[in-house]
Amino acid sequence: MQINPRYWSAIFLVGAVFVVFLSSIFGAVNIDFIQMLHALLKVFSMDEMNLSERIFIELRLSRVMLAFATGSILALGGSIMQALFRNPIVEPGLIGTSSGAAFGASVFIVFGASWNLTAYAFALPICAFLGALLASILVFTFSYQKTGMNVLGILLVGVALNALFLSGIGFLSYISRDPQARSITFWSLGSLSGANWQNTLVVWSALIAAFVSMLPLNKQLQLFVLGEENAAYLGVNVRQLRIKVMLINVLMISVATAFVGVISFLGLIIPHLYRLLSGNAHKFSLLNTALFGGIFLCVADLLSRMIFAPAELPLGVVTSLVGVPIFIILLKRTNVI
Amino acid sequence: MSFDLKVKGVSLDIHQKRILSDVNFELHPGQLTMVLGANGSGKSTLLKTLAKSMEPSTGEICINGKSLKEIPLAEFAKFRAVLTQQTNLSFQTKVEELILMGRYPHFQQVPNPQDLQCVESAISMFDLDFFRHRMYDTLSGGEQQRVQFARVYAQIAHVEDGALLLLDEPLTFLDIKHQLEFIVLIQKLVKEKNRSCLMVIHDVNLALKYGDYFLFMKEGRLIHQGGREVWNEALVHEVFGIQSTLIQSGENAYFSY
Repeated sequence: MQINPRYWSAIFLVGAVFVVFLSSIFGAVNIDFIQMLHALLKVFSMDEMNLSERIFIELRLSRVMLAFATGSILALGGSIMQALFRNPIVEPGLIGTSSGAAFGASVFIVFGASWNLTAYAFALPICAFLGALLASILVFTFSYQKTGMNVLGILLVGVALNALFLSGIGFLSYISRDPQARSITFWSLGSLSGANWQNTLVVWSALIAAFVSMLPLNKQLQLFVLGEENAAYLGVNVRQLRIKVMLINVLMISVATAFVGVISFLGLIIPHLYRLLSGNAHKFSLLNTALFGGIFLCVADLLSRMIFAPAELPLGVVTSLVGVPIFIILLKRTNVI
Repeated sequence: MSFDLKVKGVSLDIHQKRILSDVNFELHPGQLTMVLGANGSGKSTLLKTLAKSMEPSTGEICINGKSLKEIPLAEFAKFRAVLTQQTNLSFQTKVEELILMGRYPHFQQVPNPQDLQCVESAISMFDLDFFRHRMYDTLSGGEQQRVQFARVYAQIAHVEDGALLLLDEPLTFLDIKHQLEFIVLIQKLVKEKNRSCLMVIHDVNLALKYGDYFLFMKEGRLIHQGGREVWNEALVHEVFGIQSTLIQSGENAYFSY
């Protein structure tokens, strides 16, 4: 079952190309390979596109790319947070980030119109991003101690603030009108239907920035597997590294969540699955986890569009429906449970 | 280059409580120095200040005349290795991978030939060839500790002269056979590779048999130090609070209690 991480990189790269291709073909309007080629060539030659070519480039392809970047970010976030907290059940939104984002989005959905915010581009993602930042800052502030940050403290404060923000969202749905309440639910389950090239590029930039800043830190972070004491004996400045990694996580998760809403389970399961597949090899772990997450979310998005086409299932529902059985089967097969 | 480590008047307070009080001693290469004392006497804290994971409140630790404060942690990790009691991993990890972690202070992204060579020499030194592809969690406690020791060995294996090995009760969870195997290995390593070594140990008789120099701690103070000649019944009583008899049998001496 375990093979060299280098081969996993190759497998995932091929898989990524294949999945992006496949999810670009299928949808409410199917597009064949020749049409795809024409559309892509017209992008570069700046020629006039027909309707189905425009659907492909502006809606379909941007959506697939947004799905891929979001999946990568969630998987990366889960991977680095699990390593940092030395705990396999940590997910990237644990320190309040995703419930804070959902709260920010809910505030916008309920009050946006009366505060005249709806006219601005990016108003919803900005509110969500601010909510995510607010939650994370609160967690850091409450768990800060003079002697540094205590990991258990961060986890506990994170759990408490998650509960607080979730009840805030519940309250907002309660006082809102029916369509607003539906929007809140829809947003809380994640959706890529708002995809366009603008937000796709923002999320890709966040992914690339986070990936590049994590690369030099990953080796040190891997030493946390031996415990923080041993990591320090191997020359790691534990306090500094902890803060850097959490900052990177909060920023990239906030950006992704701001555009696509809360996607559950992916950030928990993908790092776990990859660890089972690779035997926790550190080589290529960031790249492979990111590719794996991207592939997974593309497939989940394809399914969400296909199952009840032309209606769409919420993305969070699909990720859990697909992810949970795979996860349990793999845990069984590797004798973890 | 000789390696000389001096502990000068080190005191340490935590929450206004005095944990170490005016400790003075030296470590010499090729000599196995053992720290003994009752629980809470400050042995482990002393080791941690030498490991630079705690800082003395007053006094200083000097290595080749340079204060430990001025040596960056990442630099220190290149010639100082620490073995602790027992290490639980947060995720399943392959033995080979784990030993390579000892080399992480020495390379950026990709291990260089020297790193791989150190891993190989650790694997053969600790007889781990058979386990190298196994998962750490599937090993017994004794085997796990052997892997950890191999990792610690690999960390400073390339250093010809002047490396510091700190052992914080590494024998605690091992059975008698493994304890003996380990301490013989430690002794061999210290002598052959000329390591400066400080080891915290509980077993009085193992210490007496294998140690070269001894530090006795009580309530944060270093109350006695010296070679094998300092051991006697009165000292054991003072340090541990127990009555014992020193028995001489041929070459060996041991305490009966």
